[in-house]
Amino acid sequence: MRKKDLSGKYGPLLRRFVRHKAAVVCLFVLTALILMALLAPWITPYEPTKPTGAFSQPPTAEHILGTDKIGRDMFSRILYGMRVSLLVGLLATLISTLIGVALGLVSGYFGGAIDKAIMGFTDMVMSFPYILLVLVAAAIFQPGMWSIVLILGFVDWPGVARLVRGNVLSLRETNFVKNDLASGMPGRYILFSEILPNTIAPVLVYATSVFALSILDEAALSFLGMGVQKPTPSLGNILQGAESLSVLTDKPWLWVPAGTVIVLLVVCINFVGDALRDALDPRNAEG
Amino acid sequence: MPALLSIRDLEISFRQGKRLMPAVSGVSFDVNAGEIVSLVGESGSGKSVTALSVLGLLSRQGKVQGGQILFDGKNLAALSETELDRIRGKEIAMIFQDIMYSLNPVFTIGSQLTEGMRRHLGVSGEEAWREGKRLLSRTGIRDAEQVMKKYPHMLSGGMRQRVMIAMALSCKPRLLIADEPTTALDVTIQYQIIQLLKSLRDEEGMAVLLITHDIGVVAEIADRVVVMYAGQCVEEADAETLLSRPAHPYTRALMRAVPGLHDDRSVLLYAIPGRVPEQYGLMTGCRFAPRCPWGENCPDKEKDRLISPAPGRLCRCPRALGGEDHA
Repeated sequence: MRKKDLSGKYGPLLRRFVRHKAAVVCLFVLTALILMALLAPWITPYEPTKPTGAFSQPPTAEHILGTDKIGRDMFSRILYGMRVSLLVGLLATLISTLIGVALGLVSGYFGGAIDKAIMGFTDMVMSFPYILLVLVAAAIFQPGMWSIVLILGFVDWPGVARLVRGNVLSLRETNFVKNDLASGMPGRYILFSEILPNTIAPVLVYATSVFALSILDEAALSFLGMGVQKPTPSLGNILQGAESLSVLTDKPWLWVPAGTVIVLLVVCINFVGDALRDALDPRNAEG
Repeated sequence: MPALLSIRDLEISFRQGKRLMPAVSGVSFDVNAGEIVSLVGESGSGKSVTALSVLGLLSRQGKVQGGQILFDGKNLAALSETELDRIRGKEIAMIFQDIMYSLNPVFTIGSQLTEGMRRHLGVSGEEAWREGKRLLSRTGIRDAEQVMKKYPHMLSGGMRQRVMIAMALSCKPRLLIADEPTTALDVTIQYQIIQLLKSLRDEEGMAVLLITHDIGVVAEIADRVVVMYAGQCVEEADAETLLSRPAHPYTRALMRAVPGLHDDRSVLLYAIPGRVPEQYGLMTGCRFAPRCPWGENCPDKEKDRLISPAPGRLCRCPRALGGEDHA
């Protein structure tokens, strides 16, 4: 019954989203990029990890984005790299959102000593110098895609936890929760069926920015050699080529495309997130 | 027949830092089946706290220190949360004052209205849906089927309050506690809601404990009135007696403070001077003395005991009763 009723809810939501022209464009760009990443095995002309041409060749008809210094096709590497970067971003966001939502719900709903303990821990995690923590963790564990996912996932949650806690605190005082208490609804029901659905919209919006940040962090870590290890391509370790000054000045095809893709991904995700926030905000209802 | 709800010597305190501040001191009254009892008083007089304590919904700082809340012979103040959950919503339902956020914004009216029935009465979704529609129509909502599919923000304030009443009625409670159910509504809707409560009482035989500071509402539907001031019951009488011959100076003052349609508008409306003292729990003697027109010179201002001049009638002011007897 409930599913069917939702159809009427998405119409105005879509209308409000479409009002953001930039976000609509970004959504298209993002969809195109994601499709390209997903369909990489069928689109790419070459293996991303095998030398297929001359070393450090500028773009040609065969290699539209040129080749890297050991002769691998850059176009193929970027598409495959995008897959890895998106996957890392997505999984890290999922993990941190799950942790953040769980801790935020418990903290906000039960309050008291539990709240103090959880929020103290959250502040502690937040006050660590972020990039240093990640670097140390990456150095301790085997660097690689999965450890990056876990590290980012376990470091990014405090923002979500605080957001959810704040939301729960205000929702707990609303009359529909009082009403539930007065109608003898169990705490389990109130927490998961009444409060949680009301925090989904802000969490979703926040998650988009975590997603964008995770992609940036993965790129940073891989650039520093602590992230996804070669020969597996990721947008970050493709940029590693730009560490040398000669590449930076004379061989832009080795880093400009990968950098552009990162910028595009992050900007588009953020724009879509912004529009999503406005679309989901009940104060913009009836628009 | 014993009363449906019988509150006996209720004492409620709130923790303020390390101290306990009494908020309700020795309140007693009964609500009989099928009766509408109105709890009247200014903000801060302890009437909402009294009502919340019946369902065990006091905030963390609040605690029932003494007395009994007997519902159908069971002392609610001594029940555990799980035991209370079986009574809440099913035997005793409550409507809150504020209609904003009284419904969950992300679910349809239908799903919220049927939730309680499915949980407390164990009926199927379809059956609950049908009953929900009937309840909505019962509260004066036309196209109930349409409203069931709507979200709270699509409804007006009056509609939402009707939905709240329908929700409260969904499990056929024996007692409905309504905490200022009409305060946030405009007058025409107020009147309709009051009439609705009245007819529900007449037809379903439900008892209503109505908390209000609106004497007009009291005049409209209450059978009996309990006037509260500073955490105490200062006067109790059947509605007619109380409205025509209020005894306690506080009750009289409350009634003088109601504007009438034919009042001379050049004369300022009477207002009770001052406000409810903040730490009234620590006062001795008559708690209304500082604001009483008889004032500090009252010979009875040290007396603080309920007197019953006639059956079903209680008053805390000996001087007022003396005056009435002489009249």
